[in-house]
Amino acid sequence: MNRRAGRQLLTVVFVCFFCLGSWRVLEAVAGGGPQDVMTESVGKILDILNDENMRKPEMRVERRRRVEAVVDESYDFREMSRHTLAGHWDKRSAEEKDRFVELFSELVKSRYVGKINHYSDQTIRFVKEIVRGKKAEVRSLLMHEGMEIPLAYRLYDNGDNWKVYDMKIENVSLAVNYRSDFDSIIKKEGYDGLIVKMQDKLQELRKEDKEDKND
Amino acid sequence: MIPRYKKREWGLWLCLFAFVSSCSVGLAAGKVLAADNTSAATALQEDGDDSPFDDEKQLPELADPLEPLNRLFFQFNDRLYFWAVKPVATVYANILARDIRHCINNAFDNMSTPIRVVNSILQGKFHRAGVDLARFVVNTTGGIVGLGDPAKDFGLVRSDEDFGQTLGVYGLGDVMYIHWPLLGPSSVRDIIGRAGDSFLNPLSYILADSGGAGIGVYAAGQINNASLTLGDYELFKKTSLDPYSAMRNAYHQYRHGRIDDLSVHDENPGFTGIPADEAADSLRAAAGIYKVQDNEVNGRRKS
Repeated sequence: MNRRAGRQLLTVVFVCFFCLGSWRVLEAVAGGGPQDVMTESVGKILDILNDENMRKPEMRVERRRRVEAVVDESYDFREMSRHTLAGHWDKRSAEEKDRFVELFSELVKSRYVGKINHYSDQTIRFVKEIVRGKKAEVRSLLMHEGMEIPLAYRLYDNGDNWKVYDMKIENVSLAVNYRSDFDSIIKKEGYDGLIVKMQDKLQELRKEDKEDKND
Repeated sequence: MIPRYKKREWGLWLCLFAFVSSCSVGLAAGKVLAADNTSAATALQEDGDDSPFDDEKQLPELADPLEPLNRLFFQFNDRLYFWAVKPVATVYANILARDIRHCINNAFDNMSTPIRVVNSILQGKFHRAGVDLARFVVNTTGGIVGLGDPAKDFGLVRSDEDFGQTLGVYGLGDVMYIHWPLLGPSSVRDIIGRAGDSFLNPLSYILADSGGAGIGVYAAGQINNASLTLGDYELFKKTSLDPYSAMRNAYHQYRHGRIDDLSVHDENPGFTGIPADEAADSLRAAAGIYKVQDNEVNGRRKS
């Protein structure tokens, strides 16, 4: 992939969670739904980030905990996990599924939400909302480093709420990317090998977070 | 949003169209072939499917028969990055301010305009070709040999076409994945694409004339680029369990997204351009299908 794609994919994927900082009224779509969910979620996160109190170094852990709580509200990690494991999901037992969801959501959050401590000025502009039945895609543009990076969220209606189950940056879907990543490991080391690797990776990340004194 | 055609752009458009009108028929056939080969059915296109799980993007599989060798080259590039590229780029980043490095990036971008224009034409995207040409003119003059990017303020958004995509549009598949030392992820189709594009890149001619200067310029461009994206690769490695597979997949999805023009910029294949600020100059494109009113929030909430 060329450098531009590398920049976009790798730099800002973590920003998705919390830099959804804009409202928009889309004339073509009456009413909100998925869009409202995103707007609200983002509003809350921004409130936390911009709270003077929360910016203090000693509040770092609390701030991250609160942001993760907001993320948990609008993201459905179980659904994301299903998409990521794809064909392997059905073969797993209930406990294995729970365990995987637990590990996967920590993996995703720990790096992406952890980066929130290095939050800087970003702008997001929503440009389109597509709703088809119980599925929706909300498209936005993230202004980063003078570039406009297309960012799309995929949501589904679980009956009560709209929940995010995938994100796409320049058409690269996070779930599909992890699917390929995990698939290659399952093929070589089996499902148990994957779980071991995830646990190791999480330990590595946790250790780094402790060492990360750059608030 | 679809840019509205202006008189100046019409003139450009007509000239280009007259010149390559015979290609359009071939391109139409190519697109049909491409649609068959690289169908990307998304859940949103599947009607009546209630299960949120059955939402696969039907990407054609990317063969990787050279995986052992590719992994070797991946490791090589990894070492090269940490041992050579990153240290140099870090020092470079400390010396030169970010804005200046962006300008240098813009200049390199500007130089590769012929690649984008020619490939847009080959794919029948005449409006896009016109926009890129206009960008070149504006940025080379007003932007001082491309260091600036005033064209963006006029609503002229850069496209991202290359010969690899053109071949994809014409129906050529990836064939197989190749991870090159130095160059990174690629495929048989895309490396043919790069070779084709090298004829359109002024850098290749500098390289041919005087090898040393050419390599120097190329290396400088790469270091400059790397300096603007320090930390990306590290983050990528941290967040994947098998970085090689993750990179291969990301490359695959990205390239197919580009070939199919599936990007939030593209309302329909062949069109591009999100208008910039509403208060921009007369070259700014007007809203097309969607009219969007936004309240932008710059890192802080505005109530």
